[in-house]
Amino acid sequence: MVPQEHYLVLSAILFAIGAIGVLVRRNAIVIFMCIELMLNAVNVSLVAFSKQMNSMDGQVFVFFIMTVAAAEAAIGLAIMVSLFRNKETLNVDEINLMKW
Amino acid sequence: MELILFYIFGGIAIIASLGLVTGKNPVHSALFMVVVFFVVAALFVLLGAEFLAAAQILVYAGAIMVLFLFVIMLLRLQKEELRNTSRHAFQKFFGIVLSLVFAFQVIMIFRGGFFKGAKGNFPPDAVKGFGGNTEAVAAVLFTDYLFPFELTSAILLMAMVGAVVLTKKELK
Repeated sequence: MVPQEHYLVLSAILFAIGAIGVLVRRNAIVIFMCIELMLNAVNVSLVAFSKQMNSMDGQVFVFFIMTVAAAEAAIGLAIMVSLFRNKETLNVDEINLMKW
Repeated sequence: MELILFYIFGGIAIIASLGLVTGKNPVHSALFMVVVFFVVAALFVLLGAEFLAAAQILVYAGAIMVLFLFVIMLLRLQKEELRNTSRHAFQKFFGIVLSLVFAFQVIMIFRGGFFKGAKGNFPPDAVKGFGGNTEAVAAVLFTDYLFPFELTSAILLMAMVGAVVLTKKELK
């Protein structure tokens, strides 16, 4: 029997690693993968809560998060394809069209 | 036994996610991401969420990662990473420090005595009475969450239309 807090700590560590990736990396696709990692970390904590509290609602939330993540991946990668087509780069430092 | 499995899977998850963040080649990052998805699916099984474990492998490892790899192979990205043009010298340092502070704070919150309040209607025996985890999820999903479930179909349709419109060469 695993103490449920361990799952939450693991989830926090994974989320922090994902956040580091988003802040440190410069490649838009890797940043996007780190966002998926953060979504997964939150999923782990939601399922852990769901088990601990004897409730199915957490698992239903994770189901919805997966749906939204799939939609987000499709849209985000479409944006990256059209971005690469226009600017020939995916380095987020060079994509500064809307920066003041 | 369960504890040992948890530590094995948790260790693999942390190592693979570090590899994802530090990998120079986007393809390596994507493959580390696949490892993370599979390990998270294993953690779901340990938590008794078999349906979500199957959905995790099908949706994430099966669909999303294939899409990622497709786009990475489609765009030639290898030389992008070598061109180091970061203009923000302190961004790396502050990003790492702030994320570590965040993790520390969350872990402090989670330490012990965190699960309080009323329990729900699905203790392990009740889940068995339904016939398993999938049936229990369905019992909640198709009653209390029916409207959000219908809305997800609209989200998927919008994503499909949006992806087609965004990648089209020119709109007439």
